[in-house]
Amino acid sequence: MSLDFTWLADPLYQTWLLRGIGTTVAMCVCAIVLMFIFGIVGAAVIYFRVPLLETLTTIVVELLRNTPPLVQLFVLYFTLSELGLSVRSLATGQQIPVFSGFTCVVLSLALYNGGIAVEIVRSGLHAVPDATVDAARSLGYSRLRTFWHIQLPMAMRLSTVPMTNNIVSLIKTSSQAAFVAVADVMYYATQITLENFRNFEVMLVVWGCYLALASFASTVAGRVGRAMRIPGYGV
Amino acid sequence: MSATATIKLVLPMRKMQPESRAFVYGMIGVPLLLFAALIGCYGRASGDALAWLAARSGMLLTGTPSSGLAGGFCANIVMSLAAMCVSLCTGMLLCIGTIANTRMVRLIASGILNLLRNTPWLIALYAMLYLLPFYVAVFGTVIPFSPFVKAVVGLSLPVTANVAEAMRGGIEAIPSGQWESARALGYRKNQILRYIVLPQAIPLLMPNMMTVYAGLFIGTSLAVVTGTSDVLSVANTITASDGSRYATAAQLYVLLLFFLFSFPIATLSRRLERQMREKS
Amino acid sequence: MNVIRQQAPLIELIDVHKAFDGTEVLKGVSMQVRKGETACIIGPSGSGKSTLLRCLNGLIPVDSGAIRVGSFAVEQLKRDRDLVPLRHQVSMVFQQYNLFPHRTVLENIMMAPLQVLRQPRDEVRKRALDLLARVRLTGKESAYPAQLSGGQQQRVAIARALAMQPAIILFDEVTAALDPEMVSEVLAVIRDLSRDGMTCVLVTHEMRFAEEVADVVFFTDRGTIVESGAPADIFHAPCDERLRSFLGKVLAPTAA
Repeated sequence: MSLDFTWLADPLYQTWLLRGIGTTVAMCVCAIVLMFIFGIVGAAVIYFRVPLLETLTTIVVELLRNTPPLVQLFVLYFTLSELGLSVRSLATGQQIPVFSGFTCVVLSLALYNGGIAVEIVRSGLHAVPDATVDAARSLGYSRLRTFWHIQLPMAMRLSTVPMTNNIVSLIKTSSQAAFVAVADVMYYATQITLENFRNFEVMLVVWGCYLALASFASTVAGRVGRAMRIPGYGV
Repeated sequence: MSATATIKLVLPMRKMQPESRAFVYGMIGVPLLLFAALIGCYGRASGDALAWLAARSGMLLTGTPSSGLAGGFCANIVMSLAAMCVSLCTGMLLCIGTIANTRMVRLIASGILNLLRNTPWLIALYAMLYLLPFYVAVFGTVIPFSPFVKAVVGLSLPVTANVAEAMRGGIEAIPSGQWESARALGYRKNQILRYIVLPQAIPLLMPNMMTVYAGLFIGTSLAVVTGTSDVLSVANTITASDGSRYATAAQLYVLLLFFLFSFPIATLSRRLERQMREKS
Repeated sequence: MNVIRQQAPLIELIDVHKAFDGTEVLKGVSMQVRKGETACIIGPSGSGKSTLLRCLNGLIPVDSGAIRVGSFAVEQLKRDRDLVPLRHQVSMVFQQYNLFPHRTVLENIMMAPLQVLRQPRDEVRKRALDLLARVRLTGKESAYPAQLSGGQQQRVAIARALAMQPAIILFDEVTAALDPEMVSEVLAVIRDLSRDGMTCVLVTHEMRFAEEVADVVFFTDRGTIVESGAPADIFHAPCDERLRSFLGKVLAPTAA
């Protein structure tokens, strides 16, 4: 079986691939930031048992964790594009849909992996010793301040491994963006395949791209985790 | 509702284990939430949407009348079971490879593990689509590689890695003192695994395996890529044919189906995990 | 001639070196134990006692030096398969008992002779019941390890080691993890074994017991054997300064 990679030399294909990788990276970065926000806020709401929101958040998190991210993406895409919200761009004067495919994917990824992040942060919060929280309270920290200055930093440090896995999972799930016509690396790969019919080689290259992205993210997360480590805490 | 009736309802909930309470909340709350979303989307047309869903529900659950149980939601269930069986075998082999005595075997196994762990499920399925032939001729009999088989093989790849990792975790949870005293008695490595470590590790693995299965089941939603007529592809087909008015309703229905199957498994796994933690 | 051969040591270490990650733990250890003798190894923590013990039955391979146990050249046995006959000769009992929690007491004792040595079941079962009687635990055959006290578990561990019919038993600080009231029952079993003529090598902190039961005592410090000899000499007339300061710290300052 001979593999033909000569198409990689074509500058057009290279631009396409790079553009696709760029879109994927941009999607992932936005989604990761949003995921952290959702995860922390969700965990706080559940931890502090905010009256109505706690039940609602629990239900939403269970829904997000036990259903396919692809279907969640479709639901978001269909509903939000039906809303037809659009904003007048100041530069060109045209109507730009607010909820494009890109936004939908970012939102969907942030919600799905955010749901998982809520659970991760929550178990991290429970792993903070009660004695530490008591000490903070008796020093005069309010519940909110204890959360922000003591519990949350410790919880995040204690949960670096599952959070890294979650980030890698996010990167892998982002490959589904092609289903909603977002011009990410999978989309361009399909375009290239349509032109040169080299399905296998293109697939290998795309696989390599995702492997590289996932490995890069793991390494960065590992570095960050090690830098944030609490010396001597046994973590 | 009278006070006594409310108390009769609420008190048992308080006494339940945390997972049972979460289970009840989830099983009631999520369908309610989805229903609210439906109403939010369709407003007054919700009645029509529900009627349409009821009419199409048979197809969504079992595929076309001719395919028996091999379509729709049933296809997802069957695919996940088949892929789980395959992955348990391959995952166990991979796991044993990672703790082998020969360094080369260990390196290769770790390499495969890392490769599979970082591969998006979608790519694994696409790869199967293009890699596997349409049929394989063995000793004169032709075995067709249906989309179903391709989906099962494609799904097994990432799940093998998950199974291997879960098994690794279970084996590493066995204290090293067990290994040491077994070696001192003269047991060799494969005997230690067979008589001492695995019998202790397998009960520990159960919750993790259930979580892996739940993840696999959710992953079957991607099988649409291989051309299998699972519930998602049926939903997309009927949306395309009946007009996209009810697209959202169909998707919400699919969400509900997946939830009703995965959530009990996830809850059971959490309960097992808690029971084991309390026992130790 | 015969007399000399009878007194040839059963266990012999010659200039054994072992390093872990660059740190040398055993720096040229030489010792001899004769058949039927009970040898005690004492010394401060980190002096290499446990490592030394584990080299004797091949759990830890050595970097250099010779170890002769009976007719085995232990330093040359590398593969698990080659070590099995050695494990038939030398058994070990650990500080943390390490019983197999998923099997009953009787099964724990019977497992290795059945599965490793492939001896016939009836013979092994009879031997196991005898051993249970010997460690004074008759009646506990169907109990699981988690249901027994620490002292009982350690006695089961000793029975499990004896089931392999070894010529030598190694004890690695076997009473260190026990509550004080259970220490004496385990020491009683070891005392009986010693009196019955079993060759024992004990690493222990129980100085009084060592003095009572040992035929020869070795004092280790920082990876070498500093001094060795009869208990009376070691405990009452120590020569080396390090030994004297060690004894001063561990022996209760009662009437000397």
